[in-house]
Amino acid sequence: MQKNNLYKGSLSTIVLSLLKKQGKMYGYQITREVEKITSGELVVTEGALYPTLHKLEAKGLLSVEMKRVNNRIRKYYFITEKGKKETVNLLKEMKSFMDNMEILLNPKLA
Amino acid sequence: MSRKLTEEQVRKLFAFCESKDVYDYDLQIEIVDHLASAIEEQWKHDPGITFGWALKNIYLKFGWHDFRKLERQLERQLKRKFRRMLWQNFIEYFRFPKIAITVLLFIMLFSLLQIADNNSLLIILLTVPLSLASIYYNFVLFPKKIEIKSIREKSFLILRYLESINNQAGKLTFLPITVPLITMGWHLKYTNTLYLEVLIAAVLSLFAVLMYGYFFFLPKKIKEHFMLNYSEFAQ
Repeated sequence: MQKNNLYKGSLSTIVLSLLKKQGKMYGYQITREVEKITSGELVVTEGALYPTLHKLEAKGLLSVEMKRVNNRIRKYYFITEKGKKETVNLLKEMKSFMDNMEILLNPKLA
Repeated sequence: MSRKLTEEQVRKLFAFCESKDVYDYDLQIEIVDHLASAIEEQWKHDPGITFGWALKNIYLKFGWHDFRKLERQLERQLKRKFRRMLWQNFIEYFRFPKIAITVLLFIMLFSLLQIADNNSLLIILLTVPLSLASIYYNFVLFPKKIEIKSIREKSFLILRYLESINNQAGKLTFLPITVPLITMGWHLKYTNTLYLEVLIAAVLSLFAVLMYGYFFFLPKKIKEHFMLNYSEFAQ
């Protein structure tokens, strides 16, 4: 979907922000939660989600925990202290970006 | 109560991953849980749908037909994670208290270079114990103390990474041959000047700290990670 391309660069911020609010979550839960919050407007594909989760884990922003659920193992992700700090910075950057876009797209006439 | 996947169906999902050329269990776990969760959600809305049909629906719907790409990305991120740990460990040797070890190492190497008439020969001689240590690491220490064997010979990305460290140790065995060949043109026998001896001692000290981190600290961290997450699969 074309509109999803606009969110691509923000997937890390979306995932971190979600985990900061919701605590530990597993991959499928994250995709469904994003769809639910955005009323289906944003669909996070698995091909984009899992590399993002693995990248955030490698950076030490997320940590993992394994649990046996319904005959299988489930990998839960949760945010680390470093991740919480990074989320604050990323959200600030996002806010600044959105403000600039607002100025660019709706310039106030003097 | 909503319909859940049976053990047999979960096994079929693992087989499905293998049919898509994903053989590493650390990634299979995540893909299987994702597929299983999606199938169970379909059953919530339509309990009569067959397992095979639900799986087909999901595979067609989702945008991840290239499972191998996911595997490559996981491998890259796994290495990145442990390289970051290795770097943090390396930095520790330049902070109190571990900096004492680095300084002591430097003083020892520098003193040896000061005493030696021929620094080239000294460096070649230093590779001999290193080569013997690598043989010991390769054939005794790694198989007995470091290596983890998974049950039912399951393949894990993380264990392959651990194995690659042992392979690198094997390459050090040939240092007494490769170092003289590489340094042949460097005229190291004329390096008995103070600043070059300082430089050589510093480089060798850094190399030693890095080697220790790579061959001892890193395997320890990899083992910890494996035992924390996949201990039930360790023999």
